[in-house]
Amino acid sequence: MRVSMWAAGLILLLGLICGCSQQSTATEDLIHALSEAHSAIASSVLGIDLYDQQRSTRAVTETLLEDMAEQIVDAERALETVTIDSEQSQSERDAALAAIHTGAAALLTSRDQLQQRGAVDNTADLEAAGHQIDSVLGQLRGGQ
Amino acid sequence: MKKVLGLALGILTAIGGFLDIGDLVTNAVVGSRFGLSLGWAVVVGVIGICIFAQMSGRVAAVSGRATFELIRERLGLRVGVLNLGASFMINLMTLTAEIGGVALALQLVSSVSYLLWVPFAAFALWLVIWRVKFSIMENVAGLVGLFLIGFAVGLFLLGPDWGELGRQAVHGVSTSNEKVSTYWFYAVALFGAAMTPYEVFFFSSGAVEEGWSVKDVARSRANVLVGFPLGGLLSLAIAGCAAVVLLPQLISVTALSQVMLPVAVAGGKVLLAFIILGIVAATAGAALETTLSAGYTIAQFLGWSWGKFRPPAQAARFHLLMIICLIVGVGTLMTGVDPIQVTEMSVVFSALALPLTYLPILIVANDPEYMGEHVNGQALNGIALIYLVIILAAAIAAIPLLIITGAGQ
Repeated sequence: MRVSMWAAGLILLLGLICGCSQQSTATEDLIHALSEAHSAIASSVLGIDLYDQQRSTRAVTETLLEDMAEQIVDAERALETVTIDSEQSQSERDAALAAIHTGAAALLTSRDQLQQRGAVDNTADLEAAGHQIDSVLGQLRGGQ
Repeated sequence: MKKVLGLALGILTAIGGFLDIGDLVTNAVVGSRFGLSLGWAVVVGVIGICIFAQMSGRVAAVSGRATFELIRERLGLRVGVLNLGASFMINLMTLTAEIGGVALALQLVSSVSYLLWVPFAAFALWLVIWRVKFSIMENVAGLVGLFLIGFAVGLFLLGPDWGELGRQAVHGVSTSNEKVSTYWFYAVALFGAAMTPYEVFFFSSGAVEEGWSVKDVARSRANVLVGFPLGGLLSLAIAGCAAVVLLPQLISVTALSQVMLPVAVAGGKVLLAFIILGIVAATAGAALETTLSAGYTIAQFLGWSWGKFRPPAQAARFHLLMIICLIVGVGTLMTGVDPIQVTEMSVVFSALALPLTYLPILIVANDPEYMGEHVNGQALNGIALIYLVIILAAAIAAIPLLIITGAGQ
């Protein structure tokens, strides 16, 4: 009896913790996705620079771009579940989605170039996408 | 001279063997997000593992028996099963993470997907356990793992602002956007990574494998008290490298490949090669230790014949169990679960299981029936009790923090 009461209490407590932990706002979700995307782009730019300078190997750079492509695609997918409750939050989500999508496209292109030709043409598209993501991120953080 | 060489070898392997995939990943994640502001958690964890590992080594050296044999005998079946269940499950999770770590490191060498490396890595681990002598296995993995000193070299080559790193360690990172709950989640994770239970089981069972006796107590203590803190410094160096290169660019580590970025910045391809070799050795060494620990815990508890000092035919169930554990680890990874997430979970759940692992060791180390005059002194018991309070707090906080932070998101 005593054990079952302890177990019930523990389940109730965990339920309460779970309930309280799901309270993130749409803006927080957008910031999280954009931060992940920023991290993926910045890692990729740094990795490609190091490879161009012959400070890193092709295998390490390919693995890095593969990992970062997965990360940014996950960040884009995470926006699907963001709930919109106003026109402003819709425009914020659309801006975040556009920025992350541009970043994902640039990153996938860089990854494919490295895998197929052993070199990335340039990082200009990646850097531009990074700036776009940072700009949206800055606006969202400023509005918080 | 032979004794000095033996001592040096023991210390070196303890340094090289201290780090595993949990330490590598958690320290890099924390360094990239919190700088060195959680360095204190590594220090607290290293002191804790030193206290309990040397206690466990002394129990094995004095009694000639390993931890789980004594726990069941001393504390009875019920407490023993609880201890065994928690320890075995955490160990299995850690083993899965370590196999994933070996595969991820091999992907960094080859750019072939880690999923293709997983079965090969597991087969190679089994082959080593089946064929290679215990001392050779332990020394080679530990010594090659020393290449991870490259992280400390890398940190110096980066030429950081040491004052800023010191400020981070004392005052935290002023620019951090992280929540307080996330900070504490990673504090618990770092503590769990440093105090992973398998290290103690392996240390104690290894003492029996190598036939330690009372005269080896001083050597065992030196291995732990010198080797583990130096291993802890390497943990801090990993966090330091991430803090210097990744934190200013707001890159948060989610993959092992990102841990290589500061290394390449600091020392180029040469340092990169050293570090990757070190990671392969450290994760393979830890995978061997966790595989053996899985066999040790169950076999010691159930009274089966165990140990690598016996031919496999004389410890068939012990070897079969290890094969099953390797297959379970491979099967889990082949589902496509992210090895880094398995690693992060394993260190947090380690924290949860710590009281069940370390309290029995403290009880046995205080029992004069087993230990004779080598029971714990009052000072050691005092420190160990303080640690049990910390361990209990970490264990209680682990799951709520895991849920509240969404596993540190």
